[in-house]
Amino acid sequence: MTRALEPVWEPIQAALDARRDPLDDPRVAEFLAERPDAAREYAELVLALERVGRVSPEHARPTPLARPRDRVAAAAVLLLLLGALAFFATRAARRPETPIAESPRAPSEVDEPRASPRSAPSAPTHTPADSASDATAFGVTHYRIERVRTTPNGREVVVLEDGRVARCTTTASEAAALAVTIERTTWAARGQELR
Amino acid sequence: MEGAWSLESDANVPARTEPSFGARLEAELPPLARHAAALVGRAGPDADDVVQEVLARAWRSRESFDARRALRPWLRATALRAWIDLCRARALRADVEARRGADPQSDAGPARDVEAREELEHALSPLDAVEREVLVRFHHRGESVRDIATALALAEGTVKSHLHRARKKLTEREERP
Repeated sequence: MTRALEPVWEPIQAALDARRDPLDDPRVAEFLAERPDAAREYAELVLALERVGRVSPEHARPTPLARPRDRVAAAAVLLLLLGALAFFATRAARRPETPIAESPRAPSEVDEPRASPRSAPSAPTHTPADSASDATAFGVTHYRIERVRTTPNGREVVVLEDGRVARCTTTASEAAALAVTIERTTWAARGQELR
Repeated sequence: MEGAWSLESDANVPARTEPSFGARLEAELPPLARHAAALVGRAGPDADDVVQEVLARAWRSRESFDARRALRPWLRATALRAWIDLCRARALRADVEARRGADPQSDAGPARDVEAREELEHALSPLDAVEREVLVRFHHRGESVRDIATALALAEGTVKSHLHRARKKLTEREERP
């Protein structure tokens, strides 16, 4: 609102709400008669409102607002998502924290990077382990990493002994970190734990 | 201009102690011209148009005008209405000319639509979604406050608050250069 119009802003609004001409209100008319600057701003207000009223309907289409029904649906979806999150978080929390096996066997085989130029510099950094256990530990289950290979887009994946493939989002050289990564990425990707 | 408004038609009116309507009108011409110039922003053709329109309306209303009433406020209120009418007529004329000038075979129609949409978007850009919806429903669709309140599941007072804020923002938008 303009400062010039402020003294008569309320009666102007009231008249517009009632679809009356604000100039029919003596307070407004007298005030604007004495204040050409306020009168000019009043004219701008009236013309701006008329411009809104004059535009074609498709131009004046209001922004869709969330209706109460939409809000209820959105709340239901949010509750479902939160429930699912809580469910999986609870399951994860129930699993015992078992120390990761020390120096598990690193991949015995590493594929050469393929044609993608992005894969060229990302050769696996996992160091061969000399442990005879030949297993990567997670929780109470041990997995054997058959090999680590690099996909054409430069992402490393590990191939487990049973043939399953897990994404590996880290280039950490330690197999312990790798094992954690396997668990997390596999769990997130497939929605189930590796057993 | 004042010469053009020598009001001879009052000559037949019996002599009174009070000045005639024409004489009062002539006396108000200089302040009216200054007021019109202030109203439109500067002296010139627009201000002259406003003055002439006010004098014409005043002359048409001279029979019904209460002689005890102050003439100047009435003239100024009429000047404001005349200025608004002038702007409104120009906007409508421009709109009509744009429609007439738009060749259906050309791209002028869609271009004008895009321009109108952009202009409206620009004007409504300071408004949030609720204010915009309330403003458009009230001033474009002609819905009542009660109908808007029902449609949006809001209290009528809340609708009015949104409406007032929207007008305020619209006015602030109009003030920017």
